[in-house]
Order: sequence, then structure tokens, then C-alpha cells
Amino acid sequence: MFDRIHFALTEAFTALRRNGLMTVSAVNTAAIALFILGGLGFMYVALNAKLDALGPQFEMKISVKNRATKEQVQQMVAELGKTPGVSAVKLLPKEEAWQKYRESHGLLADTKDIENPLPDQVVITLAQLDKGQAVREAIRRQPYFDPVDGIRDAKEERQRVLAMISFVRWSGLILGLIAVFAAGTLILNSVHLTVLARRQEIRIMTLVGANHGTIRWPFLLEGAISGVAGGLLAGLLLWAITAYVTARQIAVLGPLESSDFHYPVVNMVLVLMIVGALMGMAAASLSIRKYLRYAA
Amino acid sequence: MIEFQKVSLEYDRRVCALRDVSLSFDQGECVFLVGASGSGKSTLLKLIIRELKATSGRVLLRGRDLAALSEGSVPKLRRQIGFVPQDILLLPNKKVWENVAYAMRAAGHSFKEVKKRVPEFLDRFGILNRANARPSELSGGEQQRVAIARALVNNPQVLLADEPTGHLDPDTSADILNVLLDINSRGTTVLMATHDIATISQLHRRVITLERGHVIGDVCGLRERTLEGVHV
Repeated sequence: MFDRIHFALTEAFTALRRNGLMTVSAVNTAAIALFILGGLGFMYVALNAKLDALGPQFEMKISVKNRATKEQVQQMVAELGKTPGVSAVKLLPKEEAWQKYRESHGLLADTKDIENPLPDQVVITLAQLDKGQAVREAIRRQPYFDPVDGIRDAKEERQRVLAMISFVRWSGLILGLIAVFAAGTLILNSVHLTVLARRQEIRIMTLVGANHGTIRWPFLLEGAISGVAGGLLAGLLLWAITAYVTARQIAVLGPLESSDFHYPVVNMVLVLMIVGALMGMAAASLSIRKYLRYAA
Repeated sequence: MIEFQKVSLEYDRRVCALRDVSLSFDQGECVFLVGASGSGKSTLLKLIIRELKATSGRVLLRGRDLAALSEGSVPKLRRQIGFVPQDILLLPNKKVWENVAYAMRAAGHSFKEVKKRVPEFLDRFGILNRANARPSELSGGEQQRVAIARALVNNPQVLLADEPTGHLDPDTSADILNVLLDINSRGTTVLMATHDIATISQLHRRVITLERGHVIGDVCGLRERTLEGVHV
């Protein structure tokens, strides 16, 4: 067992060293492919985080029917607080609302004898923008919700932001798939060349009765090592670019300069290295397959 | 030991490499397959190592039909058969000892075993002094000796050699032939494809003649002798 592992590792590293230029080319190809993939992935995650953070900025305001008792209002607040997609529910008592109104309009003195015309109000903050419609329906089901005043919110803005999120998610997914395909093809071609350059070794191994595993593992390791090296390069390159962009506060890449979302350098490098290793191994496995057939 | 039962092989259903060949080879035999290029010599050897499958008929090794072997059993079969390919196939970027060691390691021998046996192999075939040379620094005969040493790393009971003297001068050819005869004298069955009829006609061995995929002759030589100046 140890001998086989030793053989696979020795062969993989010897091949990487001896096929120097080919190795550099494979690592570069993997780095470029993973840079595209990682860059797109990072942009996608960053934009999503930014868009998700917009949720709490959207509030809904509703009025409570005048006949509702304090307990009934409290119960309504509690029920709305449990609704999915709601992050906070705040009761604005009619006295407080009237005071605020008078203060904001400079009517404190002139209106002291006027009876408070305002109802109790409830302010609902959304946690997720796309739950807006469900929250509206939950509000309408409340027996003490006053439909005369309706639900007051920035519906149009919310819908615009929702459309943007949807666009980013779908385009990100499609671009991601294209990037995976492009990266996979680039790595496959590169590893295929190294396999092609070593078909003599493969033939010798098959002639002396080497098992499939013995033949395949050095190539899989070679692909994995190239992929890991490419992933490391791509991760560091992305980190450098992100750091530069953040430092310069480039307006076009607004979401990247957000102070609440930083480039997760360790995670990103690790993910790209793992993706690189898997892609390298898959490419090697596909490339070597036809050379492992024993009979024409 | 090896038996061909009405074996035919067609490439692309148009080119017929072997037609209705029935032959058998006994344990310890030394057999020369002769014929012009394209007569089916290499095809016959490739059928034995299962690089090719017969279109019809059966190839048996100790009674076992080789066409029925699963892909996973082919490596086991090949560890019982040594093969010297026509194109020698030495790795140019590895030294002589590395070429032999590589084959041993690939076949599953331990590092310790490789370290012990590679010098023995090289010594046996007279190339120990060239152990650190690259294949490009070797003569044709030396390259052929390395290829033979590599084919024997698993101590096979059968050795197949495809035109091992094809591109060698007469003296070196005789030298390689004697190496193969020496291997045969130790009990290994040797099958060698060649078109060098002049050289092998001097030996008292079985000669099978092929022409366009047909066996047209299967005779034993009348005289038993060694090649001039070399003791077998």
C-alpha cells in the first residue's frame, strides 16, 4: 500500500518537474480559469450580500382600527412579528404619533384643544425583500388592521430592487455555469496535453500489467497538484485586485467597496484550491480514460 | 500452453489480419514467427497479451479463453507474459536503470525489491555498466537488451518479442537472439516475430510462416546449433 502511494507521488512530482513548461502552462491555465470562476463567484456573493442587506431598509406602516383594545393591538403586533420575512414590528401609539405630527408641522400650540384624530400605527421592518407580498397578505388577515388607510410602503422601489436581485441571481448562475464550462475545458485541454506527452509511460505500464489504479493515480495527483497551484494563484490574484479596488473606492464596483463585506481571503483561496484540485482530477480522469482500454 | 483455435481477426471488417489460424505452443518452446510485413505476426502476439481481441475463434492460455477475460483481469494476465514491443518503447527521459525500475514499480514490486533486482537484471543482460546512461546514448543492441530486461521484471513464463532484431546489424541480431535463447533455456516459452529468415534458419527451432494472415508453414529446423562464436 505504502509502496503504491510512494510510486504515485514520486511519479506525479517527477512528471511535474520533468515536464516543466507543460506544468507551468497547466498551472497558468488553471489559475486563469479559476480566476474567472472565483471572480464571478465572489462578485455574485458580494452583490447578493449587498442586496440582502437592503431588506431592513424597507418598512411597511399600517393603521389599527380605533375600536381595538390595547391587548388586541399587542396581540396583532405579536402575530405580525412571527410572520416569515419580518425582522421587527414596532407599535407607534396614537398619542405618540399625534405628538410627532404636531411637532413636525409646528402645530403644538394651535392644536392642543383638538382631539387626536390619528389611530394607533404599526411599523413592520422586512428581513427579506422577496417576502413583501406574503407580509402584506398576513397584514390583511389581521382583524384590527384598518383597510381605509391601507399598507403604506415603498412598493415600487421594493419591486425594482427585487427585479435587480433576480437579475443578478440568474445572470450570476448562467455566467457561473459558463465559467465552470470554460474553466473545465481549459483545464481538460491542458491536462490532456500532459497525458498525451506521457502515453509511452502509460503503454509501458499497461504492458507490464500495472493495475488501472496504479496507472491512473499519478495522473490524478498531477492534475490535482496543478489545480491546487492554480487555485492558490487565482485566490491571491483576486485578493490583490479586490484590495486594490477597495482601496481606490472605484464607484463602478460599488458593492465591493462596501465596508460590511470584506474579501474572505483564506476561505476564497481554500475554495479555489479545492475546486482546482477537483477539476484537475476530473480532467485527468477524462483524459486518461481512453488509454486505459486494454483491447481494441 | 497457448492455443489458437480457428482464430480470425479483421480490422474495420475490411482488412483481415489473421484467417482461421489454429496453432498451439507448448511450455518451454522457442518459436519464431516469420513472414513479410503485414503477414499477421504482430497481430498474433498482440492477441496473446490481449491488446487485440479475435473477431472469431478462441485464444487460450492454459485453457483459459483470453477474450472472456474481464478488463480487471488483463493486468494479471500481462504479469504472466513479458512483451518486447517492436518500437522498443524506452522512456527517453529516464536512465537505463530507471526504465527497468519504472516497469517493476508499475507492476507492483516493492521499492526494496526493485533496489535489489534491477542491478541483477542489468548484470544478467550485460548492461550494468550502462545503468546511468539515457536510451539515446545506447546502441541499438543495448536498447533491445534493456527492453528485454524490462519485459522480464515479473519473471513471466512466456516472453513475446516483436521484431527485436528488425533494425539491427547481423552481429547484434545474433547477439540478441542468443539472449532470447538463453532465456528460453531457463524454461521460459519464447515467441519471436521476425522477418530475418536467414539468421533463424541456422537454429534448430520451430518456425511458423505466415502470409496474409494464413499459416503457410510450421516446421522444426533440422540442425541444432548456436550462432557463430556465441555459446547458448
